[in-house]
Amino acid sequence: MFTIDELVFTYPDENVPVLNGISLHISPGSVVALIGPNASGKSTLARHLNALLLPSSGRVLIEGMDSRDPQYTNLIRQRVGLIFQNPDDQMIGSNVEEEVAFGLGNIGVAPEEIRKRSDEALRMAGIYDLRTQSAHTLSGGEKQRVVLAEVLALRPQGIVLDEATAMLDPVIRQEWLQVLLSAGRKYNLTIFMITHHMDEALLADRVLVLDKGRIVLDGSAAEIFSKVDKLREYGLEPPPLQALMYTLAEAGCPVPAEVYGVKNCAEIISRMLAGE
Amino acid sequence: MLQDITMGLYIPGDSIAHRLDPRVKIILAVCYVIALICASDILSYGLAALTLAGAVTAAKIKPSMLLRGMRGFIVMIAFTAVLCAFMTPGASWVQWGWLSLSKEGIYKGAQVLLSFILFIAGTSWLTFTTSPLQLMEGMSKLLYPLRYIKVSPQEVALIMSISMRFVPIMAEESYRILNAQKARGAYIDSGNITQRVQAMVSLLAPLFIRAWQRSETLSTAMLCRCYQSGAERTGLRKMFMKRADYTALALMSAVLLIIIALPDYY
Repeated sequence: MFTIDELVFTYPDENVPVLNGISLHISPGSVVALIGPNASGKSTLARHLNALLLPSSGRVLIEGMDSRDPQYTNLIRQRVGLIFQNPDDQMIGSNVEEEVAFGLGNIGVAPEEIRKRSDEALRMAGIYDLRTQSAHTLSGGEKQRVVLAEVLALRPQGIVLDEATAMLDPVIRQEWLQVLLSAGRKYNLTIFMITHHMDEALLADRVLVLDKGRIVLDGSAAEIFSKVDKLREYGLEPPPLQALMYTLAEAGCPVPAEVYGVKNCAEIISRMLAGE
Repeated sequence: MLQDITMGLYIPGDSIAHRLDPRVKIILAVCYVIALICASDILSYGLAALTLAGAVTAAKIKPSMLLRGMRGFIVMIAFTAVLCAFMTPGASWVQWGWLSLSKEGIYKGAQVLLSFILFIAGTSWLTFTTSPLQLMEGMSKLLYPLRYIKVSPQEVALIMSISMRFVPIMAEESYRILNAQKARGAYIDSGNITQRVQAMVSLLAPLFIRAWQRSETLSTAMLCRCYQSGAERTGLRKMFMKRADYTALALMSAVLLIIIALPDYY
């Protein structure tokens, strides 16, 4: 889905590159989480994935299309949806169904087809009943579902989340992520999520750690979060369960470094208590 | 007071007014504004008010919504009307020191007051019943001739509709910043006039920064949704004129002609 080759990016009027030689390959249908401290270049990298930013050197291929080739720009933006933190800043329509139809109108889809695709996306996002409501009357979680529906209506191959859940409360955040992941499974979407919530990163097949514009760690969630010392070196704190396992191991308890969820953690602790 | 500004707000509904073609609603609003500019006597204003009442009834909008929208502008309207009343030359009717009020002044002040109130109510009717995207689509069709002078009608329409949408959003934002500043001890509702003016000035900087940030994110989000400057767009609904549209246009034309012709009868 995404192939990044020696990507270097420097903002105009700045000397220090924000992204410094990133090479990555992300397979279609995978869920990838990108974590890293503030100002490590996460959002800059996300903006390269739908041609909002273009490399200073190196290249970014999206489904084989080079982001620097202007003939592909619009097609890339149809194939890769980008969702930001604050839904209020992303909405142009006042009414839910109009908002969802905005992107489809921009690519010249016929009104009947817009209706069909919007309704399908609204159902997928679980907000079909809200379609005639005014956007400003919705809750934060509902608004972010509207933005998700708008992206889904374009029938993308990938979705990039730039801290899209940062403004949602924990319960709504989980619900929103479940809607996204089930859409991802249904349409085989590649999901690339930037997050500061380590529990969200646990949902990913692959976790990348970005620091000072370089990918410093790359592996499965279990592998990455078992490297607690390394994470702390980059200013990151592992999820509570992994931190617990690490603290137990430091105290001399015979526990594995990698842990897979609450159930697995409970089993490890109960075995330990039973003296096995 | 700022949170009372309802201009630019869209109220979803299924009334006759909501179902009218957006192009027709824009033309109606323009005709109504021309009628207000031409209005010069009580009969003309009465007719404009009656037209507005009919439009509000057809839109099933609560009059309280229109009044709420008015509250945000009341100080400005009153100040302009009073200024007009005192500045209009005429035979002095009441004299307070160097201030003089004439009958012509009172008449002019009342005219300004009525024009503003009817204008705000009329433009609010347009945005209450037409969503920003419908406004944009309607305007871009009406502004189509601009293409001949190499101006993109869609861009002009987009700028206008986003500006309208941003009015209540920025009003809400100002209210939030005001409250945050009050919580830190700013003199907004109290203190002497200098302190109040200083407090209002300190509102402008954060408001400007926030507006800038919002517009930047919105433009990025629009690019992400495949928006291309100058490109042809389609919409959720096809625009076509129905009987109700022709009737509304005929009624508004009649009102406009009567208001223009009325002074000739006196």
